[in-house]
Amino acid sequence: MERGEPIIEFRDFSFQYNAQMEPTLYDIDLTIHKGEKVLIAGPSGCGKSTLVNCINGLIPFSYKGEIKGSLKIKGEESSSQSISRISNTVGTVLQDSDAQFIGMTVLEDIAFALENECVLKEEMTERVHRAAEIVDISDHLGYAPTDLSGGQKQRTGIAGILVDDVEVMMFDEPLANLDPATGKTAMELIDDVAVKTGATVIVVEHRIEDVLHIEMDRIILMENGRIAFDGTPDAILSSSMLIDGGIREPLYITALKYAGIRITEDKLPHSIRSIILTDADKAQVRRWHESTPTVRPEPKTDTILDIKGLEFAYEDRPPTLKGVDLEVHRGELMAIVGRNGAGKSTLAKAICRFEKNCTGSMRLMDEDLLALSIKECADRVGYVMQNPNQMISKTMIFDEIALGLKLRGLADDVIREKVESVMKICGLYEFRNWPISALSYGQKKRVTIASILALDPDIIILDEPTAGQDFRHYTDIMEFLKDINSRGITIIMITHDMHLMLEYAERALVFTDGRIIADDTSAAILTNPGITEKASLKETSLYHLALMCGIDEPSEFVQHFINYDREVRS
Amino acid sequence: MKLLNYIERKSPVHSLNGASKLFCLLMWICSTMITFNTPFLLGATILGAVAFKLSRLKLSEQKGLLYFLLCFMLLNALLIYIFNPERGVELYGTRNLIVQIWGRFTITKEQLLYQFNVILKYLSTIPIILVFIGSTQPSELAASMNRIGIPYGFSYSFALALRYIPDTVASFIDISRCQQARGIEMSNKESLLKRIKAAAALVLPLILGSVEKIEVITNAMELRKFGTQKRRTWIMSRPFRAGDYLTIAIGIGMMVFVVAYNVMNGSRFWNPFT
Amino acid sequence: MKTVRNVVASAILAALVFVLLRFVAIPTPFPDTTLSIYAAVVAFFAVLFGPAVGFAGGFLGNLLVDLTAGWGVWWTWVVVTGLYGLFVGLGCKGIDLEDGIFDKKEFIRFTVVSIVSCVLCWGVIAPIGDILIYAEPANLVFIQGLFVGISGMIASVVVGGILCKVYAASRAQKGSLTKED
Repeated sequence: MERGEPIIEFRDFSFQYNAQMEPTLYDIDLTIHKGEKVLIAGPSGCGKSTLVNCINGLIPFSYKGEIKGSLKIKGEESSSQSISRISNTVGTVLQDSDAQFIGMTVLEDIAFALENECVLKEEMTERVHRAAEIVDISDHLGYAPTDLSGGQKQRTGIAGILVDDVEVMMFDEPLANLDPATGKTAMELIDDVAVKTGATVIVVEHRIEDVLHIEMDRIILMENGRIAFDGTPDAILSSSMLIDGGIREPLYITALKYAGIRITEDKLPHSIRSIILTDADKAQVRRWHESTPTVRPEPKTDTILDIKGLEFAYEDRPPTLKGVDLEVHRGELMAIVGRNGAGKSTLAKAICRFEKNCTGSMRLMDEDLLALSIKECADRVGYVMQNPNQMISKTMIFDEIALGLKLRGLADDVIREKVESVMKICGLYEFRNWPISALSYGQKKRVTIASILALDPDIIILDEPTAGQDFRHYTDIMEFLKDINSRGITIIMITHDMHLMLEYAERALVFTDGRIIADDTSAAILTNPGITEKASLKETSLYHLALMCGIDEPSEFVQHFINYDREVRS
Repeated sequence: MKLLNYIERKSPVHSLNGASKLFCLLMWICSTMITFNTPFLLGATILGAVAFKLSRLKLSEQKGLLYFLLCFMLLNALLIYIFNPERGVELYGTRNLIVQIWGRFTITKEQLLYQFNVILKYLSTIPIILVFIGSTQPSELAASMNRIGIPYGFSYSFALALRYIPDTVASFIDISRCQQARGIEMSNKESLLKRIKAAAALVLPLILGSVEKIEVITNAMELRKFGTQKRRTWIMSRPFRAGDYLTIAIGIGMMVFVVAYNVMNGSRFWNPFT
Repeated sequence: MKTVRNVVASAILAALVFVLLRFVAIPTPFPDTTLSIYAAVVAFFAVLFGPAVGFAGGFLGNLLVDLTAGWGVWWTWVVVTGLYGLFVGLGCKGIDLEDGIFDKKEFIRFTVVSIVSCVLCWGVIAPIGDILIYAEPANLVFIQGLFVGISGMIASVVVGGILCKVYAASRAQKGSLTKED
């Protein structure tokens, strides 16, 4: 591979935050060359965010700490430059797209860096339009962030760094808040911009498969503050390093391994489109598929929630729900999927009575939900927000879980008993006297679920239960939910995560434009190109693998994979 | 959610530079605040109405606001009267009784003039604020503030507040519904202290979450060089035209008149009774 | 680099004041009167980020509420909200919530500073402002001021104290905790 001159060079680099006892980065030796496309991966806490902050200059200029060794950006020691000097070379698009979007409109946000450099208006206008052209957002320059989709916000973010002619574009978890199809488009856009501008691309993500939708030159795997691997995607996918490092492999790789096929570099495994399978390999996959009959999950039939003709519109807006019919069965674990704004969150909020002015009918067993207040409804249906910090209002775990019970006027000893039993179910009992602030994100999530469970609801609705979590935490949260589900509680999840849907939801509802357009097993939905395209989803790579291997019933193959995977993992 | 009631339209007022409008508005507000010169306040009220007409805004678009304002003015007038029915007599130093209603509640010419003045003070400023908000793009406000000499950090705070209020409102609504579902309410059933504590529980996640957000937004701004130069340019700024100089002249004229009148008259009050 | 953070903190404080003034009204025993806890968040930010942020955020937040609410801009009250932030920020200089310390001593200081600032702002400055601008009767403005001042005091001490305490607790060192069976 032909390499340009080095643009980022770490030499024996270590960094320790002032407030911490130990370094976060150790002995980093890493060179990134001009024009390269590099993926940095690693589980939470591996130091990848710190590495990002070193490259963009927030370390050492905003976050103080001790640096050992050397980091050169464009040939010059970073600590002798300044954040603004470094940002002339490195542009960063942060994970939180609402924080990244500073301006009141797209136009102002793209112009932000230029305004700060005192560029005159005429030149500024021209450069902003050029940048907007590159990312194809020119038609939305007057839009406010609330009127933009996730994908459009991301385009604005990219234009906002391009406007400065940066040589390195760095993306911190660019796929975190996007639906699958938009994520795919976002990666294609990044690739396209890199070609047009010749910029170096650094992507930090743990969704390897989605990033590798475009050709990346290198993957850097981080573990415990060190670089554990630095090489081509093909090389790392042929090893077991990803799994060992707590990162999810692409599903087709996992499937091939289950089928007993050895992945080697010369098979070009970095993408389902590039991978080379011999006829013998294909036959082996088919044999694995046919080795055991595929058991479909037994559909549940005991209807608990019955929704008919549900309609809802926000004030002065076209309707968000346009006649939803849905039967939820007791004990189901189900996913609601679809693009942003399709109405899936609104449905969840309508079921919890957060949105009042719904028409139609909604019955939970023999109770009319539409006649209940928000508080009465919470005794039957619990709602868990995406970010646990938005739900927690007490300092101690016990008080937080007991809050709903106290406000329902129960006796103290009844509350204590109830809270303790819920804590045991949620694995929080050993922390019972801890302040909530000492808990990790995943543990806080458990606290919020526990505080809902304490009210003994029949159904729990969760908004993106695993957003932003690495593979280990994802598994942790989902196994916990599965456990609660097995205790008889019906669970409905709103999600963009196709892995979650595939691995845990036995039933999936697909939302488009205020209506349910599909209601089937996850395996069937993610192997149906018509539906995935309509709802901005993405077919699973297992589907393509099945076709490649000449399997007629891809959904059977996917179901087989899910069953097999469950067994292996448990 | 639309925060400021800006209405996009072609009008002479819309085409003015935000900075000149803001300057004139500030002068306007200050001069009407200082003075109790009834003819001046009447003039300013009429001028405000003319500006409203020129701006091609419609009364129907401001319905909610105007209704509110009317109630507020009446309530305020009533309160002033109840608390001190002879405030005008104190201020003007004469007493022309019209009727004696009951006990201390009298109606005097002085009181009428005084309360008329207070109402005029509102009537002369509120429409011009509506015109300013209705005819100036929110995006241009910060640029205008900076242009008339307010430091850009403070001006940008204003822009950022406008930017993040809709987000804050949206997360407040989500958070408060979740808390209501758990049973937190602020109804009259509880004692005041308990209600305050309930309100605290309601907003605590919002406030702490917002504090966390400050760090991320700060990083995003520093990474795009905010605050590195002594000044900054604004893509939403506009050049000055003839109308802008006229607008500034009106503002200065009002201020000069009021100050001159106060100095020559020796008092803020236009007094027809002596 | 502290200045950028101050700009952002002022804006976020303004947004919070806006939400609290517009959406969170606590009913009081008096008919048709509600109490707002916006003063508490102004005080909390003033302690956390200093007097400049308290002033700018309080001022801008109250200004934006007045600009959008329709009761006209009450400049004295707008300025006073800012001044309240300024006074609390000055009076609580040296309390470092980031260090995780907000104990009895700090709480007492916060309480005293809040009360004095409340009395100064709503009990003295705002009424005098109204007398100067509108020549309103003294008894009216002082009674209005007294009511807002007292409610500000209660809200600020109770809720502001809770906010400081919870925030400090979230910054505390996590060393000494052990799991229990």
